[in-house]
Amino acid sequence: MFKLISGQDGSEDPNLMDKVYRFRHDFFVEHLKWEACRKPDGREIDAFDTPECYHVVGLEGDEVVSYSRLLPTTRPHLQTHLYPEILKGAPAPSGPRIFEWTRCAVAPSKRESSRGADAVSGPSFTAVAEAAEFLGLEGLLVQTHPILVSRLMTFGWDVEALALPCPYDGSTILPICARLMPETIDTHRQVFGLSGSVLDIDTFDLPRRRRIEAPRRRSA
Amino acid sequence: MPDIRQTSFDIIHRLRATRSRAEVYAELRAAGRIFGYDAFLIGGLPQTEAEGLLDCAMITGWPDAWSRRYHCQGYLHQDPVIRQIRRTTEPFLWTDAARLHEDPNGARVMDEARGFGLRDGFCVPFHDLDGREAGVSFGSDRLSLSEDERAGLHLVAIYAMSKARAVSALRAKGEFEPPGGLTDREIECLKWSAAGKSAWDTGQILAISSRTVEAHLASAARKLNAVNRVQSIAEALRRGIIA
Repeated sequence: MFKLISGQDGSEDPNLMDKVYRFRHDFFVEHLKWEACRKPDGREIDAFDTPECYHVVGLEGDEVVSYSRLLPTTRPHLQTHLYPEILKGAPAPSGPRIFEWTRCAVAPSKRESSRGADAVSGPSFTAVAEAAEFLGLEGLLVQTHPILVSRLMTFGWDVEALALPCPYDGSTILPICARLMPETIDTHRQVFGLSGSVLDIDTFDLPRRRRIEAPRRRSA
Repeated sequence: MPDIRQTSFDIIHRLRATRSRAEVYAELRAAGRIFGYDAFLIGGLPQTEAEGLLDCAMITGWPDAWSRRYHCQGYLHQDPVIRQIRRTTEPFLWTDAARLHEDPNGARVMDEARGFGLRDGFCVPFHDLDGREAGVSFGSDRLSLSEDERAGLHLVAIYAMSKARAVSALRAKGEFEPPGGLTDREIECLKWSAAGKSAWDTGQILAISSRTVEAHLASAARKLNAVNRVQSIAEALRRGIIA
């Protein structure tokens, strides 16, 4: 099951958010060795975990098994405030209907092979696409390895590269804007053999949700 | 060379607009004059013993004589480039692959390729979630890529592969019918309409007025010989213009 939790609502469910931050620490610090994110209390939290962000959390029972974070581009986000050099001066789309997809993770124990044809990865990608649609988003900024860029295209996103791939921390990274198309969610479901929605929208706090109301021009 | 970044994005822009294998082929041919490659191959790696490289090729701009020789000699199993595709996600030069997988059989494949004007090449590997591998390889008599050119060609390869897959999938479904002269915007409006969005919704999504959306849909209906929106969508689906 996948939950969409706003940063605001997360503060009302400290137990779940505690698990989320510990999952992030286990994955990004212990597994991927992002030492800069190491925290003494084992909870990976940063300045971007504001009430305005969204968490897409994959749960098996009480256990967090996958995670993605969506950051509003109307506020400081990674592309502008952490590694703007990746864009090499190129403009990146931003606005109320563009969010940035960060901290994408699937529990290593749930991945049957390093290539990832497993029971969690596919639905976790699908959950992000469903969350983007639910929030009325136009697209997501992502900084990722080029191999994921071709996968996102296979999953039905319209992917615009914002700069050329460049070496980053021993690997290669590429900034993209992945736009949600009418067929994106159906394509995910076809690719991963899913019969319906994976995101449990009912648990979303409906009266307090902030759907994005004011569309802006694409070129914003 | 002029700004290679801009040149690469221009090529990608044109690749994204292609609708057939022939068009993808033509774009990659033209790009070869900029990046300095003479031949290219877009294909999956065979997953069974029975398949050859050409069975899995999606778009080939490889010398025919070399393709035949390669196939007859079973070079697939000795080619260091193929071996390197299977073990990395980072692009590499053929000569680097040969160094990493040094053995006499592999060296013979590289030697013979030279005889067909393929002295060196640049290869971009692809690894799908289901474990399948694929690659885009650019071969040349004399390849010399700057860092920026490598990055540009890497990105071109990603879009070429995506397009090759899309047009191959359409061919597999037997959908050869041309899109009836519909513009991208008309097709986009039809897709949102098929997804249950009103003209107003679509206008919000595309950041255009609902009147413009109506105009696109009316124009699409004319081109599809449809009398209303429902028939337009049905006809567009039937012709495979939208899915």
